[in-house]
Amino acid sequence: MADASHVGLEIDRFTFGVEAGKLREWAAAVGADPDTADVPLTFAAVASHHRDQVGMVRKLDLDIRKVVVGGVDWEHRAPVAVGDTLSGARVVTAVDVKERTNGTMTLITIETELRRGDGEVVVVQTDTVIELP
Amino acid sequence: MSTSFEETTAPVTRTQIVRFAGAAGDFNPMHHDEPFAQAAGSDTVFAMGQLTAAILGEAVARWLGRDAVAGYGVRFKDKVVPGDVLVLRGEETAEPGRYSLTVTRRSDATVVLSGWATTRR
Repeated sequence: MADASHVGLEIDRFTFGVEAGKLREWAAAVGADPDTADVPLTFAAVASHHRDQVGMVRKLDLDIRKVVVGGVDWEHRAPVAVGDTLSGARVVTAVDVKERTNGTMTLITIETELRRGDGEVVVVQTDTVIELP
Repeated sequence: MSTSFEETTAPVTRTQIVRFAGAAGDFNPMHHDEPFAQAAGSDTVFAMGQLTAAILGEAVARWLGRDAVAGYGVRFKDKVVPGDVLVLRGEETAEPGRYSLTVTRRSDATVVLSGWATTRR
């Protein structure tokens, strides 16, 4: 079970390219124009290819059977284009423990700042992960 | 740009879910492996929330203009399963530059996702 001692923990760190081929696959999956050069608002999700989910569950001491994603927010600070390389780390920024009649519910906030090669932060993704009672 | 939009999607398919798994890198078997999902107590596979978020995000980017969007966020309310037809809606709020968003399953009018977007001032 995650608790306040996990705040500040770096879960993992990764680097990935914004690839034209990935964008085409993405467009086909969501019914968008496959020739668009626009990078989707939620494209930071492709970092899933480079993240260590098993490590996250272990580091946060979670019961994977009880874990759900409550929501995700993206803050777009600077333009991102095909060919950019993005890097960042997932960091726990808050752990909120709520006592329920059926047990403990834990809300974990994880923030990922993705930077371009020139160091500018282009997008900040905030995940709210819930461990149900 | 109009102050609201509404679009209805084609039914969600397993192939679409698998395509998105490949695009985004989410290979949780609950989303593509029917026997696995059923053994875990689910009636069927269900779409990753990120797929619904991406479908809505695409529509929002077309509506507001991709480069105008400063923030976008979603809260997952219910599972989306193959066959679901989704109704995407957005409308400007009383606060200028802020929009409220929903994705509703057409068959039973259940909200499966609620969200928000903001544009640069």
